[in-house]
Amino acid sequence: MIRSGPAHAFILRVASLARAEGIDAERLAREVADHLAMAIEQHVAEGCDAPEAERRAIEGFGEAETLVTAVTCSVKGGAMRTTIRTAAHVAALAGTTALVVAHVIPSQSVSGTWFERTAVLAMVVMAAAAVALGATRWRSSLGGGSLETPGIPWVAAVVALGALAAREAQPTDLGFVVLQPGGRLYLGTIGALALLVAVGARLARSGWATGAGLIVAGALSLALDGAWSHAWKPMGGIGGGQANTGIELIVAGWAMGAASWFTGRGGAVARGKLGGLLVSAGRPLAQST
Amino acid sequence: MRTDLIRGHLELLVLSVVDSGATHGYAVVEEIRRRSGGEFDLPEGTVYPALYRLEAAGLLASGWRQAGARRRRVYRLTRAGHRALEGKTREWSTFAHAVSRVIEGTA
Repeated sequence: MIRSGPAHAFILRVASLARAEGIDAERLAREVADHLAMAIEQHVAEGCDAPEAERRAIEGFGEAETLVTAVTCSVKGGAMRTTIRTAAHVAALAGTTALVVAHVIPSQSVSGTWFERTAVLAMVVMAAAAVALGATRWRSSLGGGSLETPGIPWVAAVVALGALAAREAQPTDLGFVVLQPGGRLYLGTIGALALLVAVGARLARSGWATGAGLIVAGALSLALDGAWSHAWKPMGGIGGGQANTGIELIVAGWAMGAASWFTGRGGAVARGKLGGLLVSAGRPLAQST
Repeated sequence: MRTDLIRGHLELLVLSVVDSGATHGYAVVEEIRRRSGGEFDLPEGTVYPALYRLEAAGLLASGWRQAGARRRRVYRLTRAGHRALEGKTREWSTFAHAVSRVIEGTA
């Protein structure tokens, strides 16, 4: 275990640079520490004294700055993908806002009005943004999961949730029980399916898939509006009070996604800044007492 | 051997080594050095960006494993990683064979 000396300083330097870049500093520093410890042991076994072994281990490893810059590019996928992700997030948020506004403002059916056109346009924007985000994140987030096909439980839960949410205007007869629109059983089932989406995301070891799943399910329910009563009209429930569950799922999905980002690797810099702000705000209070 | 020559093929080298069994960064470096007879002597830190990149692409998966008093990050090939290794190995063989034929002047 390295606790002092040049190797320790090197590890601290790697951790500090990694934190500044917003990547997982603890993981990288632990890997570098383990690597240097083994290299030092190897050099000692070859006959070096401890300081010389430590010097050789650091020299053989390369520069901390080069390492962190290269790892950051590997993790974040380079500037181009970061730009695409940012643009897709902004587009998706704008689409969600337009959907919510189009749903909340009018209290009558929106069929044939500009509200409906706005809702359809917002959904197209959201879908395009989802494809862009999925293309940049799916493989990196799900590829290392514990299952060989980690997306299957997640997809099943999302589809079931979206399909049930699309039936909020009519009773759903499951054979042994009837789910009345807005009733406790209906809402409880919606909640249980949302929980299954979270379980599917957990199985795939993906922090963002819970929020994304709720958003996709909400969008699916809006797209399926009327499909179960043979009066399919995508987005038809917007503004008419028939799309509450879908809209709520989308908004909740964004909240979950934001929470996942803030508590994960990507939010490390934001957490650091928030911590700094809290310390700054608390200092005058501590001095006055 | 020149470092930039090796870097262009580092992902294939890393995938090949990890294909032999779940392993950690230091062991990957040592194994590349051993298998190349000491010819591939990269700065050891170079292997980590490659490991992270391959993991981000879904070709490797990793997790912590307790090794005595240390926790060690261990990498293994995913199914996609096995497929990628097969493809890259095929590409490399074709390329190396073609280069040899050009240099040796055989048709």
